[in-house]
Amino acid sequence: MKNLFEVSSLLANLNSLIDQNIYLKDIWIQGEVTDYKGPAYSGHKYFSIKDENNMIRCVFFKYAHIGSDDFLDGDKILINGEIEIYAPTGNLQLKVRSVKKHGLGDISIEIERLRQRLEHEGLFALARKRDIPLFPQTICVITSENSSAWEDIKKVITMRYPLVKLILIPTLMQGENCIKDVCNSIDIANKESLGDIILLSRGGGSEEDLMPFNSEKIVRFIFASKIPIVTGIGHEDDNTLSDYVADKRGLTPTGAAQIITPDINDLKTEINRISLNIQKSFKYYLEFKVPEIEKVKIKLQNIYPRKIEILIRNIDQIEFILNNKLSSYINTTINKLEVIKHSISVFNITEMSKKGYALVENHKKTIIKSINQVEKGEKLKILLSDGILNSKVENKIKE
Amino acid sequence: MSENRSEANKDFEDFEGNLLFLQKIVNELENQDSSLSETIQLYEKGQLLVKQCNKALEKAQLIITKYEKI
Repeated sequence: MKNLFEVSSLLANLNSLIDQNIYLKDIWIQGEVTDYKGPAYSGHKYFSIKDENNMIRCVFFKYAHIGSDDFLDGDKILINGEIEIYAPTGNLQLKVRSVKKHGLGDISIEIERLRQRLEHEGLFALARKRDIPLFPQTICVITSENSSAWEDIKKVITMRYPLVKLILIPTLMQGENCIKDVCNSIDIANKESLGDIILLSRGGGSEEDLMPFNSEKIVRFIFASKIPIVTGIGHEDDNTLSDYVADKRGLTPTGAAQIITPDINDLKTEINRISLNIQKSFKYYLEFKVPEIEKVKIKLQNIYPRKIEILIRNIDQIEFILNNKLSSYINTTINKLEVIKHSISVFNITEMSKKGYALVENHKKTIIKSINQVEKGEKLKILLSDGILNSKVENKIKE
Repeated sequence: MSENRSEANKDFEDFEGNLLFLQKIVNELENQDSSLSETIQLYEKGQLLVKQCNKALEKAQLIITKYEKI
């Protein structure tokens, strides 16, 4: 039973799933009020909103009432809020943020239709949203140069992350040419690679002021941007289609500047923590290793002198053996040489002549070794130690 | 933009890489498998990077430029 849940944990899981879906955290619903019986003792309002077939429970807390229209049963209203599961009853409910009576105006309906079309097309899909670099090197800011938004952004980033470079593309953020100028700035930032992140931002304003950021053209330029875009448009309650399509959304210019930069104080703490860890690990390593090193040192001190002594003794022995062998070799060689010398002297011709031996050669200077080499009457020379005898062959007697 | 400002930011250009490297050094030191000479090298490299990162964090100042549209 892998999927066995406690009721509370199931509801907590479902609420966590809802929390991860940005659309369910910020939705607009139009319908008719029902089951409303006036504010409760606490001041909160409980009612339902329905269409022809279905309805959903709503809770409207007192603190959120400011700026919203009053309503009664049967009124057509437009609600902004977020979906949640009320755990004590397990009921799905809409936590209301604001209520407007009389339903959507024409422009709002048009924006909602566009939103649905673009959502259907996949422009707002969570899967396509890109990660923002943790440590951006350059942030390209698209905003108006003389705006409080730009001042807020500079202030926040100076405090949080002064290591980054900011490139401002001064841009019209409201009025007639706003859409064209914003699209142009996004295009320039991409074509000239002006940053790791584009921050598209402006401060709060009227609905009309913010309307360009609901234009399909800006939404599509944001979608097509190769550089991730973060928006910080208007106040917390302002939701434009540009926010939906952006890779990340800050609720205000300040909020957007915060989410794209790490805090320098956190970084200092982190570096300090790492430095301490390095020192601690190194100290521990040495404490662990030094006894081992000491052991090896003692071992070496004991082993090496003995080994060296043995080696020296071995070398002495080898030297002695070599000396013996060498002298014996030299003596043997000298003896052999004497024998060879003696042999040579025995076979030396002059020496042999002295002993009575003679060489005989014919007129061609060929040494005669057999009687078959000579003819009767042939003249031969007999070589002796002290001269030559010219002779003639009288007779050949074979022995 | 002054010379010092650009230098400080230059030190910081690869902060993410330096931080990752520092974390790797901590992991390797904790691992205790390295030889003594490797460990000393890691320690020295770690100390150097910590110094560089701190220096960059202390000295860095925001650089702001404006893109002039034609």
